[in-house]
Amino acid sequence: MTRYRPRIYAMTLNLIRHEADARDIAQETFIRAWRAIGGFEGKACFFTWLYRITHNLCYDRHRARRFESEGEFDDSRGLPANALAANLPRATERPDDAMSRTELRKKISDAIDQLSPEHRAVILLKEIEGLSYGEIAEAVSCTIGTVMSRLFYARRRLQDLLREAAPNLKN
Amino acid sequence: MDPALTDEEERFMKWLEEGDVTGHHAGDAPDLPAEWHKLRHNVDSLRDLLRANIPSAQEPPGSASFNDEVRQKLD
Repeated sequence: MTRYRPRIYAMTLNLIRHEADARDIAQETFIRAWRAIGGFEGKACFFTWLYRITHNLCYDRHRARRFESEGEFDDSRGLPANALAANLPRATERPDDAMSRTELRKKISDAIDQLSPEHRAVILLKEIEGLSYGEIAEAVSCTIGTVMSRLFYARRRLQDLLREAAPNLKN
Repeated sequence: MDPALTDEEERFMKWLEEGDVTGHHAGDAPDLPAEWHKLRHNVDSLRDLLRANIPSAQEPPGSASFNDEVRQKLD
């Protein structure tokens, strides 16, 4: 559990953007994994299997929160950029560099927020976790064709959203 | 729901994956569209940007008690 805890928590936080919920879901992931470990056949990599549990829990939580907050302020948004970046390596930076980095992280965080849950999941699993299309399909329970399509459109949307903040993302 | 990819877009996505898995792209294929290299560069730039700014591992708040809480819930 200690080995996978930081990855599962970070992925959950990136997906649902709510610290308390992310902690609950990370714990529930390990509880369900422990209870279902007999069903793990070793066909998928262990993290992919674990992530599949996390993804289902996040999906359920997302639906519940959307139902609860319909027409109300959704407090799952607006996670401070520094909450997501807390564990990123930091070099010694000048104050103005640190400010621009904070602003960039805020813009990236806002852009990720604007993706649909399906797009957010494939982008994070591909670009942050480095999973293959097949592993992502296993983790989110869909076909490889659907993974490719979601990834294609998620990248296009993110590039559009971040082009101003990161000019090297060309047309 | 996303539109289905065209045959050309699907070929491009498979070509990207091949590069990710093998570490090199089949750049000498005779029918490789020139634009693909530019698009791949954009994909790589986006990935670099995300990896530099989104943590892949982060301890939860109260990590010292995290495992014990899980064990208690299992009992």
